[in-house]
Amino acid sequence: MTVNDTNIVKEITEEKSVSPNESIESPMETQVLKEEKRYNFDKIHISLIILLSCQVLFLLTFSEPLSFIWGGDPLFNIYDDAIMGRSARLVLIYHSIATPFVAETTFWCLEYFEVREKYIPSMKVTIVSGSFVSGICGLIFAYTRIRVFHELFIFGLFLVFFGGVLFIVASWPVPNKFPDPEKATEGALFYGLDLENYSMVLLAFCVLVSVAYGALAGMEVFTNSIWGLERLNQDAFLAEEVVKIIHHDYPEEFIVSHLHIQLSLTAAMITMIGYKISKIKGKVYQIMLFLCPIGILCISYGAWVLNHYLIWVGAGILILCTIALSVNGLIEISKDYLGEKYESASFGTKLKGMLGDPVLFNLYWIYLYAQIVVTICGIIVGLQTREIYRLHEWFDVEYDFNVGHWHVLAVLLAELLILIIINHFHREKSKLKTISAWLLGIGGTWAFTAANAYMMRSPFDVVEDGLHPTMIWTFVGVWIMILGFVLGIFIVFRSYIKKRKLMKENSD
Amino acid sequence: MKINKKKIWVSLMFFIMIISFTTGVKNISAHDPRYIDLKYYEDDQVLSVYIVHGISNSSRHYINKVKIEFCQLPDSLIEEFTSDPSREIVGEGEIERFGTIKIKEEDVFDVIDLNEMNKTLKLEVNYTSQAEDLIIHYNYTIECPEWTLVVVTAYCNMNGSFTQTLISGHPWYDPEHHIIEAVVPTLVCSVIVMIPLVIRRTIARKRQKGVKH
Repeated sequence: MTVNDTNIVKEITEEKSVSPNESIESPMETQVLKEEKRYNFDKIHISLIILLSCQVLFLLTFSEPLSFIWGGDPLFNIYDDAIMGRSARLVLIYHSIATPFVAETTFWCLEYFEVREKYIPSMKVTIVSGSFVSGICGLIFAYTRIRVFHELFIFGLFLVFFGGVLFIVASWPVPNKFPDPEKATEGALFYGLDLENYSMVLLAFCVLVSVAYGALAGMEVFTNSIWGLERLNQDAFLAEEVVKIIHHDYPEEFIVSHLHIQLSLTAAMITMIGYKISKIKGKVYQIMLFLCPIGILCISYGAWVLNHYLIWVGAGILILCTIALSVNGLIEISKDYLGEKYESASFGTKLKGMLGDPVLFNLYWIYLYAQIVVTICGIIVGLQTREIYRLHEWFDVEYDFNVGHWHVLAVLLAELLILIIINHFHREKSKLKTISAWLLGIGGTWAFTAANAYMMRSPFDVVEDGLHPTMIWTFVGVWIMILGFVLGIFIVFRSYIKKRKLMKENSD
Repeated sequence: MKINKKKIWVSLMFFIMIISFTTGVKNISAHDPRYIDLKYYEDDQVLSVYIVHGISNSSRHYINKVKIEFCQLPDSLIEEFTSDPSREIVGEGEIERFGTIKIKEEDVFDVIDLNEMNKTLKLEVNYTSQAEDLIIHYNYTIECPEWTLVVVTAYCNMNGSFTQTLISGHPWYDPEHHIIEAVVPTLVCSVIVMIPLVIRRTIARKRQKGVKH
């Protein structure tokens, strides 16, 4: 018996030991579910959640929605521009938090998609250690400028990049051989080729190319070693600061592209995880799997060459896939909730049934709402850029939109991921789970709506003192969302500890 | 296989030391202003200036000087712009945004070198702090005759500067883009994605035929 087999047995024993009243699944279903799972990533998920939570706790000390409560100033006086400029510091903060987040998303992909098992230990070592090294050292360097932490930060990023290469090798589909065609989701096979893995490989490839974009730009900016441009201002800059320069040099183009695409591709990863959660299958799924790689390549290539129209085409294709998965997912909730009564139920009852699982309902709702507050708002502003948003009078509105747009997307992805995590770790129905899901759903909807109202405000609405009202509304939404996050993380930890205890008792 | 922990630690420390001393980071200061957006309101004779300069402490790190200089564009260049009918801008909205003549930055700076031009200092304003921590807005009342190349430079008190230009009466033209620009790349992306699938289908069908025979 291998270690994996032992894990399966442990999982089954553990599930059997849970009282039937505590679980909404029948024991038989649980067995089938757990037998299919060979690797357990729970420890990795928990460790990465701890790392991300610690980072976010630190960021909250100077985050605007929180510092607003205690008067507007950061809690700690550690922001010295003489040590490091604001832009450089922000670049490091973004990378420190984004790398573990992408790593965590990657492990959720591993949780749901087939990869060659022999590569999993190597991926665990490279991606997890890389995330921790870059996440911690990047933050330390941002406030101390002690050089060794920068080198370790870069080393961590390299490890994660290497993990990405391994991911491509591990998930490379071979028709009729890998992944096992017999286990493939209905509609995922095309003449023996697994289209899910085909999309995953293309997605991972695009992520790595986009990472290389950022790396090349960084090397040129700081060491002048790629194009030898001898730039006048050889220091860090943010994409939103240079986006209005009409003729970008290569580092500027590459940084704008890098920011555009890294987050979009992480969104695509989370969309693909959604396919599996929503249990979509059949002809519709096959069409989605044909469209999805086209969308991924269009959005990536559009960002690499900074062709916004192409980005929108890619985003549009991915919107269709996301709508399909969300609608299917909502129907599945209703079916699960109503059971045999589903077929005979009225339309209203079926709709009501969608609320049967608050976590999944809010997950699919956020998937859908994301299309309005991120993609559609982005396209509206994009289409009006030359006529409105690039006008001199709209200068700070456009700047705020450029910053806010990807902040909304980033928070939205975090929210989707925490809902996926709650759904995975805490299967039983509980009040806390319901409250957490609704706080996340309501808080997110509120915050993203108000944030977009702020980002797309008229520059002629002059607010004499204090903050714009839409900004304060955004803060309220963020506070509700934070409560949802805190409660969600608490539930996840509690479920994990409970599971560990049960496992220990069984092994004893 | 027995793992020698001591060897691993020594190798790790050695590796860290190597990367600490061999990799270079020239500068990560990021003090200089990042961008300047200009507009000259001819009727009010006001030059509106937005400066992007993100800072953490406005009394210690700020834009300490804004310099406005004038340059005279060569007559031949002005003649070229005014006599070329293809440069004429039509449409009320377009004229409101970009004036009557299409002039792009490269049209001017491919011909002239800003560093070699004679500049006349018109205004120099010093500051001791920065009102906002990200985007600062200043209005300067100044008379700019048409076709004057206005050069605005903002300086950071710590390090660095940024320069932006504007031709009075003729804002830089921003070419229009069309959705058509996405058609060919979309087709190319679709073909790239579909090629392996088509190949797979062809091979599978051939094999199926082979099996039948």
